[in-house]
Amino acid sequence: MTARATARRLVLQAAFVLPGAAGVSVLSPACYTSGAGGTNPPTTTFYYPVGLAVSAGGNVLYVANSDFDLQWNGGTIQSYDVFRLRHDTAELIGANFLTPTSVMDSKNLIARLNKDIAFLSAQGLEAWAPNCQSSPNTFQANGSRLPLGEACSPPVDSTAYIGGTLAQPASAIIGAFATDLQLSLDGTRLYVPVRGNGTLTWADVLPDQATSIPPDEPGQPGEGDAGSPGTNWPPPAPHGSNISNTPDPFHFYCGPGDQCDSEHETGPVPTAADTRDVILPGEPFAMAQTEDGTAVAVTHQSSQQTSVLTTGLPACVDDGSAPAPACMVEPSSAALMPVDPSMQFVLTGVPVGGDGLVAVPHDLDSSIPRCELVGYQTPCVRPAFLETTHSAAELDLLRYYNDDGSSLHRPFLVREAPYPLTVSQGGTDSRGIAIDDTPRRACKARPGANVTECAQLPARVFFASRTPPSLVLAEIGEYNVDGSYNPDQLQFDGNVPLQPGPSKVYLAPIVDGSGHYALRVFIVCFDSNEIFVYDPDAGEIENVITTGPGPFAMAFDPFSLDDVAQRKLVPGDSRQQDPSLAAIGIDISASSANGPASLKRYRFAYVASFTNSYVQVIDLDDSVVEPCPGNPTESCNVTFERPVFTLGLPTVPKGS
Amino acid sequence: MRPLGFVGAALVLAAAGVATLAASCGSTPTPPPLRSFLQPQKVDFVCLNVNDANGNPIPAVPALQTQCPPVPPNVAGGPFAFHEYALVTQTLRGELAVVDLTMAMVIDEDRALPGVNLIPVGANPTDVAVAPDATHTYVTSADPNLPAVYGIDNHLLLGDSQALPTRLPPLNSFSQIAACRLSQPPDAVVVIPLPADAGASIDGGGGAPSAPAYALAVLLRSQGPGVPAQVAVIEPPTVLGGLGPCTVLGMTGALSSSLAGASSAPGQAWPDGVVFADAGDLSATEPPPGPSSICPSPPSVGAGVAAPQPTPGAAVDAGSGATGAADASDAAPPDALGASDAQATADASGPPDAQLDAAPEFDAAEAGAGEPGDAPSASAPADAAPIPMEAMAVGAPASGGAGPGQGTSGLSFGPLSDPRPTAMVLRDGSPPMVYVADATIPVIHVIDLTNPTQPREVSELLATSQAQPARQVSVGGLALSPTTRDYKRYLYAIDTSGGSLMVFDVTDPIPAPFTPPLERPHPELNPFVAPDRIAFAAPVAAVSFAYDEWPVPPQGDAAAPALTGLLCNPSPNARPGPDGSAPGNGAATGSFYCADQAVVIDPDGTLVQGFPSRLRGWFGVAVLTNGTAEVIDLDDWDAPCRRPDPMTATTRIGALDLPESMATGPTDLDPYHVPTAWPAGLDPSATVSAVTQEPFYPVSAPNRPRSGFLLRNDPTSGIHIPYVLSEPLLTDSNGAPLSSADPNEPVMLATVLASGFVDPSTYTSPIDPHDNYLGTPAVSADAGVSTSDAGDAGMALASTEPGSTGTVPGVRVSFDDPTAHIDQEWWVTYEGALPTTSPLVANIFSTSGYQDLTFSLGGAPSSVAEAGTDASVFAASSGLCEVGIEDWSIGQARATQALTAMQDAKLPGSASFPQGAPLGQWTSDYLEITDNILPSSDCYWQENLPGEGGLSGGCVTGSGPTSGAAAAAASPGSSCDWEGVGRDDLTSGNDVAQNRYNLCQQTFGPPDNPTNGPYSQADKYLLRDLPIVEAFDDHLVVTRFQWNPGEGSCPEQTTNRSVFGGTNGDGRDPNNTEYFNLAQCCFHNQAGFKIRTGGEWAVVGQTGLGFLHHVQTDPASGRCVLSCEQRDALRNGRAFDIPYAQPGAVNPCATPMAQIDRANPLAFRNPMFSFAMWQGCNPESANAAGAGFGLCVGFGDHTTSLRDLSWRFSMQGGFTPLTIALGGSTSAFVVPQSVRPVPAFQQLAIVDGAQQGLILIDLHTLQFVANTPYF
Repeated sequence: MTARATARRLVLQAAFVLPGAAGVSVLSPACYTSGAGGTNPPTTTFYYPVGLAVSAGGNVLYVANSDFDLQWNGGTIQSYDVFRLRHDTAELIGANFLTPTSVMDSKNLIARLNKDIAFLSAQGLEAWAPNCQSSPNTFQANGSRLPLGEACSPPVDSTAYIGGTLAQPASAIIGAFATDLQLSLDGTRLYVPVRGNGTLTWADVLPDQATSIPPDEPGQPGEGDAGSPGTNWPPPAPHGSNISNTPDPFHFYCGPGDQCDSEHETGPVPTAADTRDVILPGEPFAMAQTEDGTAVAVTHQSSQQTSVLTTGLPACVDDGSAPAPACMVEPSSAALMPVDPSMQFVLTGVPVGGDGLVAVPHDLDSSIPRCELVGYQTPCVRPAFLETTHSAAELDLLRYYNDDGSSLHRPFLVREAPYPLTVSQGGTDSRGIAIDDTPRRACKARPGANVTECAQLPARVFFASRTPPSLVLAEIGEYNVDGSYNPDQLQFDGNVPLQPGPSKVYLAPIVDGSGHYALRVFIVCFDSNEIFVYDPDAGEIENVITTGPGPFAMAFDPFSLDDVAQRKLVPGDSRQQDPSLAAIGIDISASSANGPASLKRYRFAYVASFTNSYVQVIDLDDSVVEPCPGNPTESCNVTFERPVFTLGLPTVPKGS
Repeated sequence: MRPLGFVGAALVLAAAGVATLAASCGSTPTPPPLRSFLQPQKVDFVCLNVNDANGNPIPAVPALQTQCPPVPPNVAGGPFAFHEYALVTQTLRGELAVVDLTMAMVIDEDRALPGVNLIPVGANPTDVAVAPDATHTYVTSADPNLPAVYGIDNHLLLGDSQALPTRLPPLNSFSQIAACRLSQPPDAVVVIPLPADAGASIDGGGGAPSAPAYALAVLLRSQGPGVPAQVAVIEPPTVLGGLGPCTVLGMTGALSSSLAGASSAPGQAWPDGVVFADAGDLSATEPPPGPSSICPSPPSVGAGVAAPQPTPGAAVDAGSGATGAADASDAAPPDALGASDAQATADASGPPDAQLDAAPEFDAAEAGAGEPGDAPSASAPADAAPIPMEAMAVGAPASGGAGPGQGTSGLSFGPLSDPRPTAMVLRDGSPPMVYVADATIPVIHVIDLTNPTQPREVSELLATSQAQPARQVSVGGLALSPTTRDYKRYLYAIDTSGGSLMVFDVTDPIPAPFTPPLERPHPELNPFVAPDRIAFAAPVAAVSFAYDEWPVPPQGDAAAPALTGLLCNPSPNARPGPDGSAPGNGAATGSFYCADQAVVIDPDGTLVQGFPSRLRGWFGVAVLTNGTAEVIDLDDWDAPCRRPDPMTATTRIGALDLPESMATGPTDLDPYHVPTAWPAGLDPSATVSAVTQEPFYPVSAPNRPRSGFLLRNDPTSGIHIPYVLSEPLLTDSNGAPLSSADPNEPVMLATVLASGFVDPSTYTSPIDPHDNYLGTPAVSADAGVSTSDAGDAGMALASTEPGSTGTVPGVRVSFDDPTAHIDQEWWVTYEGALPTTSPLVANIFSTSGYQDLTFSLGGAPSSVAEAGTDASVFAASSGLCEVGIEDWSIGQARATQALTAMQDAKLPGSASFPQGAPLGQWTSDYLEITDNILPSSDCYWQENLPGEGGLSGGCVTGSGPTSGAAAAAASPGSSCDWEGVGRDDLTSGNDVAQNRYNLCQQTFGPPDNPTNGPYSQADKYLLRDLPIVEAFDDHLVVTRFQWNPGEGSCPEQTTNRSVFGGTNGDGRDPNNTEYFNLAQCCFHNQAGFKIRTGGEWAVVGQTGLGFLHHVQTDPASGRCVLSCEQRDALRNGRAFDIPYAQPGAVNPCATPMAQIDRANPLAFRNPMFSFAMWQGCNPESANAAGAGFGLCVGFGDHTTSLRDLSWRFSMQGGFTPLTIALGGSTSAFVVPQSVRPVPAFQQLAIVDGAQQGLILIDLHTLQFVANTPYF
């Protein structure tokens, strides 16, 4: 990627932002006749977003919109340009730290931002001033300043960041009531459980790379602003797809046109690979992939069932080196072409209302390694999941069998152990769950480490409980009395109080004050409009981020868990620091230390407001400290763990 | 960035505004409570003088805790001169809340602003500590950008909240608070006294006269490489509004991260509560953990084995001054100390008016203990050394070691990360110390602060886990006990993994390096708790120690002070006179605390029933993550009165119920010289014993959860001793009742009592002192069954008393350790299935050419994969040994042991079954395939038939790379070998699929269907049963059963078959090939199965406890072997049938005469009960009715017990700990954050993160204090 290419790309983007913003209301609702009846959903704005995912290269933000009030004829999956979003966010942060010395200076600054960032006029740039000095909202009644980022991020038109073009935005219609969105471990396939039609809808995507700026113009992979593609670009075409016209990672390969077709809706109809002839039960909700990405389990909201499907993707191994989601395809299966996901089995007898699901990490170096990596020679361990539920005070361990040992080859799940929830009074309503194996990774990275012993350190389990509102702490991977190791033995350790309505739990780092990765647990509290940031090492709540109404899903810039475990220095994002950005009017040298020049490869989190249909960007970098606005004698980073950018116009639900 | 102190005010304002708006709109809205707390965490207390003698407010003056009086119920504390205040950190807002506990309100620091305004103290306040002189409060702030200590002048603590004539300024600004900046974020702070001459040097020679006589020890958090965690001693900040660097007096430097020299050796046992005798090792009274051929006899203790850990009896009995190396000021018991000493225990002050009067009693007890006359008689357990773990060789992984990466001589956890301290607790006195818990290094650092300029780490306590020796323990919260009556100090430490408590002996302030946690005494009596832990129903969130006392009201002289600190004393020599006066020249005794005198102490109480909640002495309090608090007995001054009565050599009840010695004379006031506490001789009309008559001893033991009820059949609180709900019921395989009087059926009888023991269940009224153990047991002469009256309702049915011929079914309840009892329904099933939490599914293959068969949870293990050709690909996590499987080799050993015991008991062995196989040949667990064969329509039956493309013609399997044809090709073993079945029509012809199905359903039964009848096919088709020759953790090697049809052509039955030893006695035989091929193919190389206990009864708890066993995995071979540790001896779940008659008896169905006590290998015994299962009559002489299976009676049978014959009974009266529900009557959610006793009030303060408030519990009533919680 050359500086010139970068500059050109940004200029082009800026050029279509304003017309796009003006035309979005005209183009969006009425242009589609999908044949499904009703009005097609908007393609460039959010509508009850429920799922976010960032591509492995960090350039694409995938969004699942649920159409929760059924205003449209379906939900959507959309792609947004995170490269640009990150740049503009950093630019806005930097601008907020500047103190213009004259009126002209101020006007120039506003003009420059106005050129780059498509503030929505209704509440946008007029309300913003450098350092938010003229904004009445930046001060509280007692005169104290509101956190800078939160106060100085007026809504920005999401249309400006949609992948593809305004004419062909990267958006595809799916069923209503999607509940989640996940990217396959190899970054090539998206999965969306959809309650409205009882499917696991999927779409193939082209993976991007962290070293390149993705193409956003049709037909120009590897050229112009497509960045430095490297030898792996373009990747192989998604199975059964023709990429000649739209070889970009924003595009969804899930059928012709703007709608994911029935071929990409797994579950309602048995396929040839589904020799049990089972179908996906109703109300699919949470999902999780096996560690090798070859299968996915799906919970169901209204039944005592959990389903398992094969993904059709080659097995891959997360060796820790690549940012998630990403893994190395196993050499033995590298030559295998992906095939379609297929329904395989429905496990019954789990508590009603599986709300959270996560794969149990089985370390490669454990004395009981993953079976698929050792040819199933014992001792080894099969893939397993932990499932939470909102109807019972327990956590269920589900075991996945790929069934290759039998003559049937029919994968299935077994409910191997219900772990009664001993912590928390009541404890019958558990939600999102995440498992942290960084203690193992950190241990293995130490000089002289006994990797087997390190690999058998317990992994930390975190899940949200609403009874009472708390983050429950547990461990998985324990020693037995006889000294043997059980990689799936769970033990509850404690709980941390939260505000009402915790739902999803995410494991991701921040950038600490010294510029290193530092692991945190992010707990989204839907009811209280807050995200709790828990420091698992210090064992304390570090901060509470106040968000827009109804936060639901989060995503993060890509990171490697190994880097986090070793607390490595977060590298800069050279693409964003290209000096030639000045060619499009951005004077980096004059920018604040918090501006794009300071952008690290990892810095932001993205939060979808389900209730008000927009996305907020959260600053997770605590290392950039500079004189506080309005009080230069103090140093601070007032944007750390604050919303700093508002993507899309917050919209109050109809009828509320 | 400075924290914003006004945020809270704004939020409150907003809340108030919202509330106002809401109120104006609704009809009768319920206003939400106005809350000022947000993420509260830590608490400390201070006493302030805030009113003059007339109740008029004065500017606050700090005062000593002893000056703050408790507030009586229904009294307004406002006018009190001295008020007690709680200081609660508010983590999220960086504030400190001040709660007036005397007036019951949260202090508003700034009345000019709406709402309740708190004190700003910096972001993320992590701890709070009040100076000993009460003048200042110190708060540590872990603001990453501004770590600091804030010092608040307690004169200003109340802001402008007081109604003073001249209003004081509000305390709402950092300019009013002294502060200094730390180099690293702090996690904890304690205030340490400075040496008397330290002031000048610390002040740099300035010698400021106002320099405090204390310093702050601050626990600093690591900030990455080069900035280690450490303890710093600093001067308290004095500069108002400043944030200059703190004046550091000294720093420890990096805390130790080395475990060099540490070993996994277990710690000593803590006192068992039998203070008058050394209960010692009980192994002689317990069954061996395994057959003698498997578990070698314990060698004599000598060189080369770990030194046995002496029980602490000697230390307990040694009397004052005989224990530990602690100096006098540190080790003195609480009743010999002033209140200040007790502050060493997490600020919990000692008895405010502690008296020394108990000393004579205590000394008397000490003097008497240990004398020859005190020793138990021959019936007492031998004081033998425990079995050294290292001596267990065969199939017994050594406890305390042998885990991966860990040996018994040293710990190896690989490279450890840098220390990460989590908590710190102060031990004041001399020398001043702090103990620092560590999350990443399994130690508790011991820091000596004698020289504040040179704090240094002097030792480490080692946090190990005997139950999980390979686990690297992480330590959380700490609490330091006061000195107990036996001169002990304990450190409780939370094991963050699972939240149990470790107990360390810190009587010596500087313990030996790497001192491990203490072990529970007699862990074998309750194997459900790890031997070196105190465990609860939920993980511990925080722990503390608390003191409470019920003083003896003045007797006679109303002006006399109330007496405190007295041991309850049931000695008749100590009883008060008829006028209530005490004997012995008026010397106070503890007799007023006896069960029959309790009303003297608590006139409103209910005598003895109040004992469990009457806390006298020192107790641990563990607040749990489930929102409850549990009380731990530490130094219970009522312990001598909680016991059975009598305690003599002929009335023992449990293993530790050792007889007490007689008093040496009328002046002997020893509370443990009271073998008979019933004061009948003194007062024949008395109706209450001097003791609680709880049929356990000890009832109250150090470091053990306290019972919430009297452990007895109490007329007020109900039955709280274990009992059998009703007579055990015999049922057939369908659950239909059978007659237990049928001599052809087996009978479950209680074990006989050993000499000197009595069974409290056999007495008509365990609490009736006129019908107690002094008299004749009310056992019916003929049946050995207790008569029924109100007193014994629901008690165990005891049978076969010595000399009795009773045959009424029953079990003998064990009264050894009350905490081991869990309410449970029990099923005792012949050849019952071992319970598993999930179905067992295994891959089927053979490595012996189908001479035997392997059921593997994985692929071919390396140990059996030498052939390689049959290796298959199927795996799960291993864990078959955890199920408790005992293979043929263990079965044979058990049989040998049983036969020896039969010979010893002069029982016939298997001689009564002449045609039957020897016991050892049919004692083996066997595998029963439970899967249905696939329906005939399934495509599987066509698999691998010739077709287009080779491997086709069957299911169109998954097209992914891990399934279907690709996988089959890659894994040859994944296809079955129909050819091996030996029938051509299974591989070619027109009806191959149907032929395959037909053959399989003929052999193994059709798929389950209601039309098939009531039995599952798995249970009906005995060819599914495969005896286990060898059991490994991940696979089972099986063979087949054999039987002799005899003249009557009896078919195979579960009663007449034995394990087929095969060609060479290893179970392998060429004749197995065809059948095993068929089994593999009919179940498509994979089958679900269950395990049955062949030839044995399986005892299974149905409501959570499951099947008790001590099968473990041999680390070297992976084989399922028996643990040979004595502490596992009672983990039993199997029982043999005992042959019914005596040899040569005319009537082979005669009543059993052998005396089988619970330690006999023939008896079944677990921690809760014991029984002997007597076999039904000789089948040849009895016309056994074999319902349901077309039983061919007689020939070849070795038992009359049909499979799935079951005895069922329920046990109730399990242990219920003393639990306080912190959610109160509303069951509000509570997430405890910390706990501390309120020093002045004998209350317990719990900071709750769910309600976000401060909960106060009255230790006297164990109820909520009025107006609590505060928030």
